[in-house]
Amino acid sequence: MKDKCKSIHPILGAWFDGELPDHKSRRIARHVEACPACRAEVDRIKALRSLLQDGFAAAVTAEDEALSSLHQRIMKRIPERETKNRKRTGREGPLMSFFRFRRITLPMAVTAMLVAAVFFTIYKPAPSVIKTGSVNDCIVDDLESGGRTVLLFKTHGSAMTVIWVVGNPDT
Amino acid sequence: MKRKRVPVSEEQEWVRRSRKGDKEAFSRLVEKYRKRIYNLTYGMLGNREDALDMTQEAFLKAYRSLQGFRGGSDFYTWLYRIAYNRVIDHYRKEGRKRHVEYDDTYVPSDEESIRTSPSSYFQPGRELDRKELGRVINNAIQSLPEQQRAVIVLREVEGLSYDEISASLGIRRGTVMSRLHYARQRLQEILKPYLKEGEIHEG
Amino acid sequence: MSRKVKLHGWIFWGVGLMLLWGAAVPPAHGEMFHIEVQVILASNSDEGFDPRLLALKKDLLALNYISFQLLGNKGLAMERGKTGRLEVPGGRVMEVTPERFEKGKVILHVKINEGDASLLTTRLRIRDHGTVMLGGPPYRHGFLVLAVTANR
Repeated sequence: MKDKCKSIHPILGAWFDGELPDHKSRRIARHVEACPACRAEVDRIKALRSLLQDGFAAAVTAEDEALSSLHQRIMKRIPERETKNRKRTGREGPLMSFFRFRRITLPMAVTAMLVAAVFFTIYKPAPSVIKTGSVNDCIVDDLESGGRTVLLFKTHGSAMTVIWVVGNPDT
Repeated sequence: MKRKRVPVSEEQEWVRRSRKGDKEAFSRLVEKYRKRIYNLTYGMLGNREDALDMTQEAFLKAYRSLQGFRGGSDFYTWLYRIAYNRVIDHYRKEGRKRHVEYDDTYVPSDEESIRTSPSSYFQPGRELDRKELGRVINNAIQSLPEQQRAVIVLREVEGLSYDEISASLGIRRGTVMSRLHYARQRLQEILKPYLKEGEIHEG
Repeated sequence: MSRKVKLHGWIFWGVGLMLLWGAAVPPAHGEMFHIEVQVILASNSDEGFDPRLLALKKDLLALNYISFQLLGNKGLAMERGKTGRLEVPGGRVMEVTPERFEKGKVILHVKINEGDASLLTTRLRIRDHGTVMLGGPPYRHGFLVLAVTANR
């Protein structure tokens, strides 16, 4: 390999990608025109690209269905009412948005408190719940398994409750 | 290249509405970018389950962080960045199980040594079936150092410019250029039997 | 003094909204519930992880099986108090009855029968859109897991 080729070699890819400044690009174009070794290298880069594109398309083919059901799952996982949370984490910072919305938020807060107060005086509260904030919060009120052993646990994933009935009934 | 661009204003509108919690608008963005994000995660991970998983997580993270997205940059580069960082986290957590060092001591697995040996596997004129080709290319990409996989996918498959890649991965343009150079060198070496043009080697 | 006036304003708003809220609470009967049941086979075979179950992946993997395949999926739209029946592989029948909606949770009565015998009877309070997994019945080379998602 000639010295000139050696210096050009690391940037031939960038030249091929059209990512070099004009003056440099023209200089390399002239060299490649005249140099079979560098032309061959450009051909290899070109061939590699088309091979990668074909191969990658082949590798991820048949994923359209999986992606469309993935899409549905993503949408299912997005909570319906995001707007209120958004405001708290708004770009303008929590303090600013507090002031901006205080006219609405304060009366709302008071309302919520009053509603809660009335609610809890009228209704007998349900058994206490550990607030995990998980979408899968679940309380098992009662359980009958015909004498079988039952494992009751939560997963690490999204704190999902699992009721696992083990083995045969006591006889 | 292959990218289809929706007029920017329309996409910006989807982003704007998504930020306000409009699920329908966000769904449009998912629709538009799910395949591209999947391509990146698949290219980085090499298996569909993890890639689908990471794609899902990336979109959910994106939805949660939309407020932090500055309209100044392109939405998709921002999205790529989330997915890329998510996969990097995944690599760390997985204890770099799949990591293959980029140095001369690299020893190909049996399967790889078979496919890199032209005489035993590759027969000129024999068409690789698509499934086989997919596997060969996936293996080749996975044999790259982690850092290079994302660059090669974004450039060669997704057709991003160096500036876009730089923005997507949060690395300098010069780094994009050098990673791409090394990745191409290595892939040419591994995939030599499948490259029609190029060096003429003795038969 | 003006503070007091403001406070009155809030109370006015508060009471007003409260009354509106009272009026807006839907009538108890005719409420619709949607219950989705995914029937999953958990095993240690080499079938791998069914991509249709990715949303549940982390939770399923906590069960310590290697392979998870979706055998079936059924959505039931039911009125409050009505019972929906679902055939579960292995000659089992699952009956779900949404009893009411209370404090953001769907109260669901679930009964799984195996032939004449009762396998499991339980009452669950599932957070709206939440999922709970019922598992254990052996089937083929593994065990069945029923992922039940409830929403109003």
